[in-house]
Amino acid sequence: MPPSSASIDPVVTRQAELSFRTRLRNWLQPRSWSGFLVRRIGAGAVTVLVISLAVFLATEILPGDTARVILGQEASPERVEQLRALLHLDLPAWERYALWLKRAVFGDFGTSLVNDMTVWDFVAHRFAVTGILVLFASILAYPVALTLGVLSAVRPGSFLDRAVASLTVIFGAVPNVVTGMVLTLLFATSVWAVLPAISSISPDKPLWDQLSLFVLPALTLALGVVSGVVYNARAAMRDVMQMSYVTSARLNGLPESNVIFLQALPNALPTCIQAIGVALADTLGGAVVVEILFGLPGVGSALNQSVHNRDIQVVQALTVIIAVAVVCVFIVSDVLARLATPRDRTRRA
Amino acid sequence: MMKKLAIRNWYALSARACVGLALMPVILIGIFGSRFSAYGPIDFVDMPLSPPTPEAMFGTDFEGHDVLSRFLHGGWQLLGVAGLGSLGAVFIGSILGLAGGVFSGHGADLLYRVLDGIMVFPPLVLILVVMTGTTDSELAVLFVLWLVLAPPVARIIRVAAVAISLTEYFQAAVAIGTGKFRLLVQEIAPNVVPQILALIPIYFTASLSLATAVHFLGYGVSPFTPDWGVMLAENQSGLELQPWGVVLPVVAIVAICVGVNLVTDGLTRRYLDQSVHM
Repeated sequence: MPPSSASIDPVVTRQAELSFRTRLRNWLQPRSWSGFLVRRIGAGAVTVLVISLAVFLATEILPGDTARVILGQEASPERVEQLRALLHLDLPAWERYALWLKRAVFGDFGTSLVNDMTVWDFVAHRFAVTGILVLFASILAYPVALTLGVLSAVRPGSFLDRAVASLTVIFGAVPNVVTGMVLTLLFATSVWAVLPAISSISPDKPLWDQLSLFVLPALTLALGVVSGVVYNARAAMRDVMQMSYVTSARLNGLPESNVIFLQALPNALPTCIQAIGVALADTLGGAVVVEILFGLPGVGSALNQSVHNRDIQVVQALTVIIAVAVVCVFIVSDVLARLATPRDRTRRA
Repeated sequence: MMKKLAIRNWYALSARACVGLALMPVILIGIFGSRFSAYGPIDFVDMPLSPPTPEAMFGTDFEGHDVLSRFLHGGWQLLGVAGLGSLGAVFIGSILGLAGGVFSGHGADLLYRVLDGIMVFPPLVLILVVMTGTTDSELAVLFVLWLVLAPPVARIIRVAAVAISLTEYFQAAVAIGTGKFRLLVQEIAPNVVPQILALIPIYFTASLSLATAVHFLGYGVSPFTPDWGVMLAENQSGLELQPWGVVLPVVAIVAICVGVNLVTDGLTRRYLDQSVHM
């Protein structure tokens, strides 16, 4: 049912005269900032909840007795009983999920099955490593990608445009593992041995003093996501450059730099921001392979390790944390894209 | 001016597509290579990590197997999983997408919410999670590839299907009382076939990337399987002594990915509206 026109226009009707339900509906309507945020964050929360349930189920469907499968056939009955008690396997599945969820909300993800640390202790210092890796990759990737995308869109068919198009097709195709291997071959072993092939981080020194270890991993990650951003930035900018208002700006005699950066770019910016959001989410996934390839002790290598060990508690925790991170990235990029949309800034209410 | 530009663009693109075509034979090496190998994939040939000799043209790997023979044996499983992965994902995704174009209501909404939820996840993380819960086999890898790659296909095909359901001939078909299934098969499907075909190679490279990563991490394959992804992992530590064990699979994977992408890019730009392309 569409809201009546009287309730939607705040100038005509004073808010106080409206019923609570109508005011709530106005407040929540998707075009207003409040409604947008509530909807977006609500959808994000639901997504995380669904993902946590799915992850719980996926790790629950181990055939047979979970404790037995984890420990192997030779395990002593006492050890199996101990693990059953630790995992609350005698409770029905939904009660276990509720219990796990209740603790997870307060950041208590249980204890690792393999090394008897709490999951939080096991994982905490790994966030810094992955964080620096992703940050480093972003600094390398996005400024270059946006510049290339915009420049190649401004002069379609030019040498730069064709070179960039070829490069995006090539780099968009090659898997991260392979890019990493090529970079290692080039810069760490035979050709120019300037950088370490395996990033052995020493725990004694602060991470900031060991940044050279992050160069190759970050470059690998960056090369993996750069082509998507270039492609989207170029497409968005090209669409905008073909709009009639850009032509009329030119006909009015504005200098070309003004036309490109002040008239056209603001309308292409939201798409670019969204593309960077998607690329950031990809980086979080790509970090798994890159961390293992270069031996970085980050979240991704921890995830792989615990999947190999069937360390269910850690897998559940890490996946949910990664899901929260991805959902946050998407929410922030949506908000920024909306802030950057010129049309939305001038709209009333 | 316009004409010259158009010809130049066409020329440049087809040159790229030609480069892509020239790279295609690498796929054949991957599939049929095992017939031409001098040694078996697990034959002990020479000391581990020995440099190229006349007997072993690219030297030996970390366990003394012939690198070239292992390389020739190592393509078909990876390419097979990637190929079946992309075919299956495009098939499942197309059915879901086409259905989304005709059917609407709470069921379809729920389905697409679930697909969106899957797409929130970085594919590799999702694959790892499912690998925790299933037995470790190549079949599981294939299933996970479908799970990860079908949702984006469904999204793309749904957009195309909805666009067709807004045309006049479709409305005319609805007006004379055509059933939903018949609408799907007779009106929508034939018009979306080009897009569906274009998605197969695009998702082949995506699927190959994921399969390489999964094999590299050691899932779905036993450590002794001759496989390009496994070769990357097992020869990484010997990189400084004997790089060929890594170089051969790297070159092959890059050639296949880039070749397929270049050809697809050339063909879609030539025969399809560019908006379909990713």
